[in-house]
Amino acid sequence: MNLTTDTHGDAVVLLVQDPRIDASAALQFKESVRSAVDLSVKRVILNLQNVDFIDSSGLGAIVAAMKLMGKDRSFELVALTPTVQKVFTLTRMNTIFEIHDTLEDALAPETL
Amino acid sequence: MPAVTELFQKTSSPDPSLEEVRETMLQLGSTLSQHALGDTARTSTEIVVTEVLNNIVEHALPTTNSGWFSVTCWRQAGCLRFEIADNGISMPHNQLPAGLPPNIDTELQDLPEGGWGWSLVRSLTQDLNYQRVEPVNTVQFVIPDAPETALEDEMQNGA
Repeated sequence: MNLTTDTHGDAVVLLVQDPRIDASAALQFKESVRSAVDLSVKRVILNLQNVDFIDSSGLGAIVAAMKLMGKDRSFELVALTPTVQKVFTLTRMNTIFEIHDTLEDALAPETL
Repeated sequence: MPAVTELFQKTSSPDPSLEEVRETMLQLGSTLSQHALGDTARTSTEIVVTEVLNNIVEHALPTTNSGWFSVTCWRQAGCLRFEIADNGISMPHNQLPAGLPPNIDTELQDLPEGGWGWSLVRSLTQDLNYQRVEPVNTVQFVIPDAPETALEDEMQNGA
């Protein structure tokens, strides 16, 4: 599972390079996130723009990645493609994660 | 065109892995891409067939010698019809799981890391049916297709 890491201020953006996070890739995905994220990082944004498909196991792996961050750090998602969006909506996991449409939205300074 | 057309048929190699599930899904997707199907039917198929095959490989086949699965897909008016079979152990109590979604109203550390498979299958299929005829499990279901939706999408994208 290829992840590229990019730092933007206090946020680390993890870009998933592979098109699928499925049962055959779920374990590798968790390990890749674990090794890519330093404990000092307070905010992680997982960019899913290249991911066409996730299954139940892939969704579970993304949840595991969020748990790894703990509740004092932020784990957000960006750029869900249509099938990925469908899995999040059907499982209601779209209500659990903070999800941004684009990376620009995620990195924009907060406006009131 | 005849009322029912077989679009896809594949039987796995012996003792298939999760990688073979992925390979099968890529083959099925490539075959279906040659037909004018609605996007909803396409994405539902990808989600549902993956979950059923993952379940077979992870739960039905591990204790079976020379395990296999097979996938057949037919197109008929307004839907895709699927039959997925395997020679693994039977479903618990010889019936499909209820497919209740896992509880997600929990603290972060208690969130589920799986268990959505049958819930996804049940919400995206119709006429879901399971049969055990020793030594083979057969799951059948229908995925509705509305090609007019695809046409509308194409027109909007082209506009």
